[in-house]
Amino acid sequence: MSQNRGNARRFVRQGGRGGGGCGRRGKDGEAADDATGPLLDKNNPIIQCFRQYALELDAKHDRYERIVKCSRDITIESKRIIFLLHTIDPRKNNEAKVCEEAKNRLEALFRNQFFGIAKELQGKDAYQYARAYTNGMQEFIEAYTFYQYSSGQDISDWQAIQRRLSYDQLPDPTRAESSLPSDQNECEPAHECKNDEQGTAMVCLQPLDFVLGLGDLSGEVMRKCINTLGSGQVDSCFIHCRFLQDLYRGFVSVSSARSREFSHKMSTLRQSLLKSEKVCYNVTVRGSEAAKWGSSEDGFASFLHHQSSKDTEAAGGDDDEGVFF
Amino acid sequence: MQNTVVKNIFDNFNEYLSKEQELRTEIRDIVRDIDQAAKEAAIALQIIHSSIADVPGACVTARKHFDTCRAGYGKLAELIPDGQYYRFNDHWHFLTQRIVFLIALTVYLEKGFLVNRETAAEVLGLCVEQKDGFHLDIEDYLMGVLQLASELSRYAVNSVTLGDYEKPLTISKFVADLNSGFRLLNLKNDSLRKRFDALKYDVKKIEEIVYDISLRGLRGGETATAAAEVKQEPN
Repeated sequence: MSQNRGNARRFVRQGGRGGGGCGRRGKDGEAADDATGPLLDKNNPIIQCFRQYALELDAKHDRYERIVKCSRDITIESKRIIFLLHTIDPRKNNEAKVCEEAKNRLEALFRNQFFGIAKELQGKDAYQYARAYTNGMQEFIEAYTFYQYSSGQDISDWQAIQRRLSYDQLPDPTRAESSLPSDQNECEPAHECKNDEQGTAMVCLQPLDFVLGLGDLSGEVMRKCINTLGSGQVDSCFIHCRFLQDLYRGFVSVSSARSREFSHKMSTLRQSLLKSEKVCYNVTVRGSEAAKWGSSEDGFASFLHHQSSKDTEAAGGDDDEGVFF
Repeated sequence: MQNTVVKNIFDNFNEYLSKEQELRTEIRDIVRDIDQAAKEAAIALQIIHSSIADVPGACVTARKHFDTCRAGYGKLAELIPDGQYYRFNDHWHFLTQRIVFLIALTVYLEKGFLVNRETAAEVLGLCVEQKDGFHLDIEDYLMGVLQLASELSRYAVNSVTLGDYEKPLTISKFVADLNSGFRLLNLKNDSLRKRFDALKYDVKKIEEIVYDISLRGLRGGETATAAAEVKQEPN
């Protein structure tokens, strides 16, 4: 018995030495054979198999970690792009410039980080690693749709984004940056389902991720709604609010998403919606200037003051509310 | 304009969800059938804890049920689109682990060695490599093997009760090999690692049985003399 255990321990130590010790292990096994008899021969297959399994598991874990890293980069860059898009200010008239820059940075994400993930996923089951990049993907969807929203385009659906995430061929990473112009992404939809074929790689965009990303977008639109109020653009408040209402209607229409995250997103969306609806309400009732004070807590006192002073001149006050519309 | 765009997106999404729902329902039906067959195999194999003579018969019965499982997996393989194994595999991975365990137990009872992944996959009619199609996931296989260790520790206890004093020795050897095999793996902090942490208790339990037997000189003829020799050596 004690001999058996000794052998087991020897194998353990060899395992620690790594793959290089493979040839030597066989020798040790034979040498030990003399002492314990033919029993040991049977053990070799187990160890050999497990060496194989170890390689496979390691490869899988490494790939997962690499994808997580890409996903983090995507998250960071997406957050920055969103921040950039919030700097759009009609008073500075910088919309075109900011949108252009955001567009370029989004393109760079498609070219670099997502391309990196696509390369890792080539010939693999994308769903196996979906958890590794779901966060980055949601953040990216948020940035991308927010860019489209801010620049006045229609929000694209996930099929359109999925097409852009499919890469026809995989050239060297060194050539990747120059050889993937945007028009090349207009590949026919047939490529979508053939992801595991040689030469086509894609990052799988799960519709759920897309919708969750849209949920995040609501928060940004709400911020934009409040910001535009600050800059005195009252009409766009109502436009943003309308968009949030549409979005909320969409979320309500979803019957069963099988996801806890989804219901969580929905309650956040509802809060954003209520906030921007209140803004619109305030604008309507009090006129845009008053609403600006009312939307922040510490401005409330001065708003009251303003309100009371307005009441005193109520007779002439009717037309000054209309001015701001 | 955004109004219709958003509406389209969500209409699409709902359509997608309902399609997925349908597919999942079909998968669940098949999985239930496989589960039933696996349960029957498990019931048949329980006999090993109460009767040594019935072990070969139990293995034959279990193998018959594995054939049913294979048919079920064949149906699943047809149903799951290419490259979406991991999208749906939450429906069957516990089940697969249990079946791998049952196969490993059967093979151990018949031949006394650990079934490798290729053979286990073959019994279920699955592929080994992911790229070949519907396959046996390596983590499912390893989980099944870990379950085997727990069952064998119970089997060791009962085989002593039934008067077979040799069995715990071979089981101990086998589980020790398994243990060293698992130590070759670099496990992440996931469910497999957690399950592996429990393996040492099985090893300990079996070693204690071997200890009890050796202490009382209950080991069979040859090994008993070998043990006596070992005991004499230090003198």
